[in-house]
Amino acid sequence: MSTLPPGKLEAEVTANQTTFGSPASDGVAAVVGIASRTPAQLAWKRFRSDRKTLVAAVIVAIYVVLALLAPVLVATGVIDPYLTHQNLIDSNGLPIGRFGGISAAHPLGVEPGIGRDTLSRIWFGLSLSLFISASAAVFAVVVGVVLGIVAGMSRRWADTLIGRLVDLVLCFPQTLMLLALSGLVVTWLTGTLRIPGGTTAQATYVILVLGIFGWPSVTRIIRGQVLSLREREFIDAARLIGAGNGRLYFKEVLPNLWAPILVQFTLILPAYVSAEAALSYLGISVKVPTPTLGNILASSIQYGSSDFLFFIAPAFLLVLVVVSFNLLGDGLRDALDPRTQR
Amino acid sequence: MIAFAIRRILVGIVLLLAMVLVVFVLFFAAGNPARDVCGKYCTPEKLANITQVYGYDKPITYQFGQFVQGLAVGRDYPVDDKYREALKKSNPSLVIHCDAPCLGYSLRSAITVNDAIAKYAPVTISIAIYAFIVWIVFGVLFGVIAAVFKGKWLDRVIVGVTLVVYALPTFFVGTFLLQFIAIRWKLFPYPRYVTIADGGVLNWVIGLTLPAMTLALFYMAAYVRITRAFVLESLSEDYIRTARAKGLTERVVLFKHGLRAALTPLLSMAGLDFAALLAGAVITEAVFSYQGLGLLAVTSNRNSDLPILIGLVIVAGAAVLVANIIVDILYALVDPRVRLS
Amino acid sequence: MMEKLLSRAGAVALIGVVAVSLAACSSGGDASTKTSTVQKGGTLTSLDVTGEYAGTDPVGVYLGVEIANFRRLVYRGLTALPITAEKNPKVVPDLATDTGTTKDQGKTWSFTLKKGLKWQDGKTITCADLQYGLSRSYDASLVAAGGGVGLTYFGDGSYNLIDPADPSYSFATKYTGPLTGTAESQARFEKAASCSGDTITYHFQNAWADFPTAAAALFSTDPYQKSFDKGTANLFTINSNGPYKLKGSTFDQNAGGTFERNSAYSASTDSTDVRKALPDVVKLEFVDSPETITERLIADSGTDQAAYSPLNIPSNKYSQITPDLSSRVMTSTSPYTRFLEINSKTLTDPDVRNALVAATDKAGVVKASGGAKWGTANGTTVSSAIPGFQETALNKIKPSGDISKAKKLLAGKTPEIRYAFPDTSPIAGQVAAVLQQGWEKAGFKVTLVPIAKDSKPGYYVQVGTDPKPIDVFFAGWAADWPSLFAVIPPIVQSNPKGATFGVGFNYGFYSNSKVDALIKQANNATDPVKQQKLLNEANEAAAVDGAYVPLANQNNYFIYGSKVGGFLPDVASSYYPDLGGMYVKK
Repeated sequence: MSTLPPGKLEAEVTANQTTFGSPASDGVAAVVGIASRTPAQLAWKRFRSDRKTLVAAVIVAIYVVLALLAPVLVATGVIDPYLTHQNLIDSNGLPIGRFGGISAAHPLGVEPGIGRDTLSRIWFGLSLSLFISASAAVFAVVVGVVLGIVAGMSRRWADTLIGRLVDLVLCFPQTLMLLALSGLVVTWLTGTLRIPGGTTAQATYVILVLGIFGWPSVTRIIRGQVLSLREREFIDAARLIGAGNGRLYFKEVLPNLWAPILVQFTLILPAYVSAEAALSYLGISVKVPTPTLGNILASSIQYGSSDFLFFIAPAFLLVLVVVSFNLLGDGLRDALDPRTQR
Repeated sequence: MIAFAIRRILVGIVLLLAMVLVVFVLFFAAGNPARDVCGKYCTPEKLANITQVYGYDKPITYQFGQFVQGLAVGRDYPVDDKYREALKKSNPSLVIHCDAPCLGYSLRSAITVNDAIAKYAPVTISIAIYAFIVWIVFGVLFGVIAAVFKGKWLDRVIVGVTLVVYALPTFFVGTFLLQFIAIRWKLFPYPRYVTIADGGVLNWVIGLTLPAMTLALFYMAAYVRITRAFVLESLSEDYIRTARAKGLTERVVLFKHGLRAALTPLLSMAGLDFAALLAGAVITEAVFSYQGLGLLAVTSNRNSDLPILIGLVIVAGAAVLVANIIVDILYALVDPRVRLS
Repeated sequence: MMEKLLSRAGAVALIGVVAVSLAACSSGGDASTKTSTVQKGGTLTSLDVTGEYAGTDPVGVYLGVEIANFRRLVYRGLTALPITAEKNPKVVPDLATDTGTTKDQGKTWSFTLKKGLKWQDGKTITCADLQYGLSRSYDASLVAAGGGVGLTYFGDGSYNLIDPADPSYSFATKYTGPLTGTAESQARFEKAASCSGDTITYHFQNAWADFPTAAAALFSTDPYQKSFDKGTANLFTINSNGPYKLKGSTFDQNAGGTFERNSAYSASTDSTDVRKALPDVVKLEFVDSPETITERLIADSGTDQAAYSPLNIPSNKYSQITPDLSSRVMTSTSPYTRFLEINSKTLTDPDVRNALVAATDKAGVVKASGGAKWGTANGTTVSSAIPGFQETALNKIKPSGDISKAKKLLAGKTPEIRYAFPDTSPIAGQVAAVLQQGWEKAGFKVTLVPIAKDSKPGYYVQVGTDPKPIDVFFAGWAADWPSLFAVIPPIVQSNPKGATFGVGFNYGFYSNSKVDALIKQANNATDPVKQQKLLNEANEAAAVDGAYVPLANQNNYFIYGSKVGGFLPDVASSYYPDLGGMYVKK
């Protein structure tokens, strides 16, 4: 099996994978007179002192809160991403009034052509995009971690088998498969699995396929981590006292992997947000009128010179989300790995 | 060494066959290939004709076997043996022969898949090469600069810009370059693909620039980050400390020791990414309407042109597999530990 | 794009040509009637979206814009419609010496080929070529995306080509075309479409009064060289007898094709009323998005100055059409109407149907689609560009919807309905949202069902075979011939027994014996005015019974480059810009 870091495919369909350093080393006994700190405390200290990462963390937290709030607000009618206001559109299809039709009722203006409130749409779209991306990321990470641990810890044949499976999945052209399979899989989802059609089925498709193509990179990284963990004394100790494989993998090994898992998740998620946008452009993701950041961006792009606010708002928010998550992930990785220079 | 190489190649072949099998299962068992290929205005006669030409009513094992046979020695269409023999006698010009390695025949486009891919490949390969050179050179360059100036404003600017560029979806960047930079503001000639034969090397390069930039910007951003991380990590290794302690200049430390360690994994990753571009530049080619493999994929999907889609998937997969094998072998040449694992 | 999918003529008997010499309504633009400046030479480019042309084999071509372009460039027919701004032009001879002769009110038609007609390889066009061309229509495996256009009329369809010696012989079921047909069926075919020297005679079961016009608008009766035929391998080849020929051996369905002058073509056998052939080169160039095309034409730089597009300007670009562009922009009434088909099998109660009609926000749909530039709300499926046009009572309903009327009709019911629409652009989604809002105000519970733009079996089949029945769906229509017969019967006449969804044009399976009776009377009437009156009565009866939900009459909204001359959307080209008269200004 190739020991190399995985390659990347075009568009935003896979996460940026960089090799992760080895896990935090055991706490080093400090010089006499200074209280020793656990690795976690050291990490936290490094994290706290990195201003860039802190800002990113705050922004991410705000996004998460907003995303969680959105469905509630829509259900209670505070924001309405679907209501059209034709009276706010002029005969050319543009919002009446300066700056894309900004008003007290519509802080970010209205959507050209149909007059839906832009803020509501972007807010709800963000929530849906984050939900889809997070679900796909969870899927990829869970499968990837499980297979990574198994591959790293077990005998040759299981390791080789999983390795081959990783190679196999990675050689499929991702975007192409996503395109070609969408009709088939969605039909199967609605027909055989009886998943409600429309938004639910499309979202499920995106989550499934992103996850299926995403787990191999996670597996590779986790396996690498596990290989170095494997030789440590606590593993031997656990085996000596009779721990079975299951307990070994998930009670001894897994907890030591929380750092790379967290970093992977934080870095995969923004890649999936961008991937969903690319899929919207290709027409495979959730469709209007249900908003996602991706499908809003796909239509806003045509209004670059005619309605600048509508053009720039979704793009700006998308960039902010992705950048913040990436900064946070980088910061977490730096904080949790003492060997990279501070 | 030879044993390693051979082992690796054999594994690659097995993987390729496994991939073909998975593709077959996905498209044939799960869907209704005859109906899909028949398209919008499907009449019973058309359906019968398609089944005859492609043999979709035969069991999957037979179809798979025929496909592999086609890969090995070539095949003839229509698939139905009796019908084909009769046609050879009555209208031999209607029998279609597909040379090995035959990836299939498309009724919807009246062309063998091999010919279709050969026709569209040059554009994709051109864009890929151009983008590759740009992103490697500038990605590594800016990554090294960022690592060397870590913490200073130059580093911050580079990292900041790359983060933003990396976050923008390709279709956004592509459409912006096309509609604003080329069409509206006329800052660049309208992008049109010109072969070297038609316009010379300069026009070929100019014609490729905007789509290649769309791809390159994204990868460049990624590679800046990766290079920076690699260089920083290798610079924190103990042997670097030793080198510095020995009194070597910073430049020697950086280029001779730090960068070299970072370059090998970087180049291998780049090789894999390049291979993956062969069927991956779907969005870029669609936005610029460049007749490459990516656009072929989009239009084949729209027309339910199954043979071409399957052929594309296999070619793309084969390219990635070959790239993997080459990279593994090169690595094994360089690092003996790999051969033994 | 929807319009192109739907540009099919139904069963037609062209009412005697009512010579109405009204100029097509147009404003702005560069009328071709300007003096002197007509120029020969240059390269003219037509910009269209990729993936529309599913084949260039004449037997399978069905796309309106493709028929229009190829008629002027490469494929001549027995007859042709001229380049003219008239709303109701008369058909003129093209390959034939006249517009056909019939001695039995249209059951047999004879045409004689002109002398000196050549294929691009220099060989003479013969009567056998005409026979061969029509015979290929019976080979169902050749038809790419056309769905058997020829068969609709010539085989067990409306007029039915017959063997005069044995009229009961069914070519549609027994003849499989020249490549695989039996010797017996081939012999019979050559009697049904028989040759005597340079004269071909067609025998039909039913009188076909306007066959000469059909021969101009269909490629089925065009000649085809037997030596050129390689079966399915000819899908993207073009064998020309017109002023231009294809450069290269195949037409690229994703990139397009370039057409250069055909040296074997002799302009003396043709007429400048049909083909002026002024540019030296004509390029059909395909681009991925209509927005990019509009941007290029607005920017008007380089070779784009001699470019135009048969596509309407998409509504998200309207605001960029500033007054300084007005000399290169043209609007006109289009023969396309938009409406909603109602599934009469699921919505059986006429009150519910009429409530749906009343609650429809037509004005909102127009606005969401682009406003006055895009179209005008109306009350019928017939375009105002059709002679004999008459509005129905539905036009009196308030364009933004009459919710109180709808509520009264529903009488407290809250029916659940599913609305399907082709998901071709964000605008389609917006229109759906507007419709949904209006209907829900009246009490309907609406589920939206967007159909993917590349749905495999095609929009109508998908709508018809959806596991949960669709109750109302977006549709459109354009008559290929300026006649009420080309619009009203296809939409509201009841389908033959056993018809399945996706076949035929009355997709909503509307069935009303009163309407059918009126249409039958119109078919039998001889006076064109009476025919129109009866058809309009039929349409009215269907409309007030809730057969469909009218939405709007579309407008054409074209833009073209500053060096394009002779830009004229006309009847001959299905209201697409007519390539026959366009030229490149110096």
